Amino acid sequence: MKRLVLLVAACATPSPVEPQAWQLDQDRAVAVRVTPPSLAAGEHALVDALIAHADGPTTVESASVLIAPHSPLFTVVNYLFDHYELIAPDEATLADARIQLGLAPGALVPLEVDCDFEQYKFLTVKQVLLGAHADNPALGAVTIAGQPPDATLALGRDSDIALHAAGATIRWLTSCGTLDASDEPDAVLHTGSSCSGELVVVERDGAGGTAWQVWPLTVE
Amino acid sequence: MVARVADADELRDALERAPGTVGDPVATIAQTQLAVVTPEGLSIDGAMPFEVRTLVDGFDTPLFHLDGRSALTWWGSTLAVEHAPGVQWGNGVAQLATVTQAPKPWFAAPLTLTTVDAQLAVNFADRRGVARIWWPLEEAPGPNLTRVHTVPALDGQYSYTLASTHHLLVRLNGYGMLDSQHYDSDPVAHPDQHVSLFRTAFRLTLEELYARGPWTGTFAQSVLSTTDIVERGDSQRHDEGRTGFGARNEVRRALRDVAGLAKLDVAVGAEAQVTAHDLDLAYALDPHENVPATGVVAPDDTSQVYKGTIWTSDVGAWTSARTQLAPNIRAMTGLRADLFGTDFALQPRGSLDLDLDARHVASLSAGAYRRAPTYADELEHSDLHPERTSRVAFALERRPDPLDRGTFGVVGVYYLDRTNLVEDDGTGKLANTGRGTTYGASASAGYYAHHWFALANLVVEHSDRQVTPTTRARPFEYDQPVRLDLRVARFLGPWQLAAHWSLRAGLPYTQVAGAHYDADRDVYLPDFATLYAERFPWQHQLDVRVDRAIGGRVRAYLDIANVYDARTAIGWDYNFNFTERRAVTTPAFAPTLGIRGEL
Repeated sequence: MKRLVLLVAACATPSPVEPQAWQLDQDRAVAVRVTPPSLAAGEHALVDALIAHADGPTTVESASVLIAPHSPLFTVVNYLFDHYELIAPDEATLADARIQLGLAPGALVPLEVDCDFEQYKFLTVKQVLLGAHADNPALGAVTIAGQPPDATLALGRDSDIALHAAGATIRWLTSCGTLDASDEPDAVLHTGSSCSGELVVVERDGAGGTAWQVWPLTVE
Repeated sequence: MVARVADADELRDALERAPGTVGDPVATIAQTQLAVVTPEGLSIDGAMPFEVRTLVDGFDTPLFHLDGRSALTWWGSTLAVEHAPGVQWGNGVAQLATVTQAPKPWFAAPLTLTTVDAQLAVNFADRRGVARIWWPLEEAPGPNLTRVHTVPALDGQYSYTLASTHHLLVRLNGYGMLDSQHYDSDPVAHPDQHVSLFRTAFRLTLEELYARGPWTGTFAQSVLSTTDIVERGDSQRHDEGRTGFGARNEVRRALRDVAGLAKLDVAVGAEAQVTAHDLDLAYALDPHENVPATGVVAPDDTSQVYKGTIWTSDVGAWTSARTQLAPNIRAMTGLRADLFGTDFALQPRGSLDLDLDARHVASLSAGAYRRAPTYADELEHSDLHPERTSRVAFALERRPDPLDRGTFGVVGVYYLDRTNLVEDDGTGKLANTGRGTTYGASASAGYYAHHWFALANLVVEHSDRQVTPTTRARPFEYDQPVRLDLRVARFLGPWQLAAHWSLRAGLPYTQVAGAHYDADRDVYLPDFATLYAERFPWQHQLDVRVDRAIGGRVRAYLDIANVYDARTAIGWDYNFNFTERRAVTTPAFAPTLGIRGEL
């Protein structure tokens, strides 16, 4: 019953509490990327994130702190001179880890990594897979108002702009106007008044792979 | 304890018209009995709402619609809160018991129309029934929402006398409730954002009541069918269907002059309940009292997956003896045994009443109670055992003068000790490690004269719990230390004027200290501060109601809930990353017009 009532209460909320997930003009981590997201034995990976700011454009930041405190493979995280790297262990260590975690022989070993950016300002959790190599996805075809986008976007005021991105899981974000269905491949951008900012799309492939694209955006 | 409504049936006329309740008997009894009103139901004496049984004609039955209104009517039933049930009742520490009224020997057909519901009842000499429909709320509650009630909330009760002789009465009672709500959280949202809620509950009970000389027998058989469906988006569902059968039998004999006792009433009884729970679950973990939560469930969270049928059973037997030890001393003692699945539990209970004079009674009661772990995901943990509660209470009661009425009241103290409480380790793993303590004092004072009725109730209570015996004690989720309820009614010819004011301490909540971002799921997950270390503000509210009799068969009324529009925070809405929050408040000022006519 509590589950039902909480769900009813959540549905009956008059409007979402601001700021919402699609709003870029706030301090938040938008996406975390491990390159590559799945590592073969002995392979190295780097971690970075797309960070949104309340008072400026997005930036791409390297992790300031990485740890894997909940895994027997915590030594995968290494600090090399001035940055963190993930270094997959050898096959024998992975085989031991599969036994400890109750995984089938040859299965990918999940490793949960705590990734902190800008000195603990943004706390995130990211899963990395160990045992075989895989790349981040290439961002699928994107259309904005039915057209492939240019490097920068210039849109008219008070317009409804159809956004489309092909991909498994899509998230749209903007610092100009408002977004409907921002977590769907097909979203709508209501441009509103004159503005200068950014439009972002993030694609996740469901296996840890992440890709994003940022367009400078002018509404005039 | 607080004056029980059952003891004050003569005040029914005033209670039925309790301001701010629009005729909802559970709302009225929650106010007068100072129960803690929670999203899950009523919390009584520090019990979780699911520890408080809701009984219809002696059998567990869901009572509440999705919006919290009860599927009961004053006209069709009598209702009482029982703080310390006798040995004939098991699987709970308190209960909200409703009994379908037998048909009256005359014809009546009252029709009630209000701005929120309509109710039609009919009574013949051998049958009676009542049906109610709640007006659907078609308007969207906000600019970004679509809320559609495809089926209005419906409920009904029915009683049919099959046979009536000098010694035997056989009757069939029915109860039904139907609810359906559908939401789209965003008008242009993808169909996978759709939320559907659907609930039905039907209970059919056959009762045989036998009385001959010193013997009385009460026998009942009952079937229950419920459906409880939650569908959210295209990946989350929490569907449960329940089919249950129960039988209760009790035989009593009244003896005289036995073993030096002037009166001795002995009873033996037994009951059996078997229920099949058909589950189809792909949803977030069920909430538990010891795990902080914001109520926000990520739409991709299917941490709990289960499909199958789980059977539960409860076989109980009891015996009790009630005697008069002296002209002014009465005692009751009894023993109940329950077999919950493979868990066996013995629960002794007893009470002692001392008549100080014609209107003053001192009562001491004590008892042991058990609750089988069959709530929500407890069903999926066959290794759990029943929760245990021991209760002791003392009360001093002043009864109303049967002729002059006048003043009446109760003062009392109570203490409950809980062990074997089911606790969640935060990952959905449950174990009987918890403990809890509740103690409090209550006072109730009333005055009933020819044209006046006034009642004041106060409870001061402390309730805490521990996840394990070695962890620190912290407030119980529904610990409400102070609850005050004042009401007054004035009868002026065809007019009845009534007002009600309540004051309640805020419930505890757990502060969100921050959040971390799950980058693969694209959701923020809250990080909590100390469990239940914060409290919501005090709640207070004034309700008024004016009734006007028009002739002998029509009555009209205006009920205004929350007259001065006090909106107190009782919860928080958060934004997606828990950096901002907004108060969820008590309901706003709400006037309701109603008219009732009788054929």
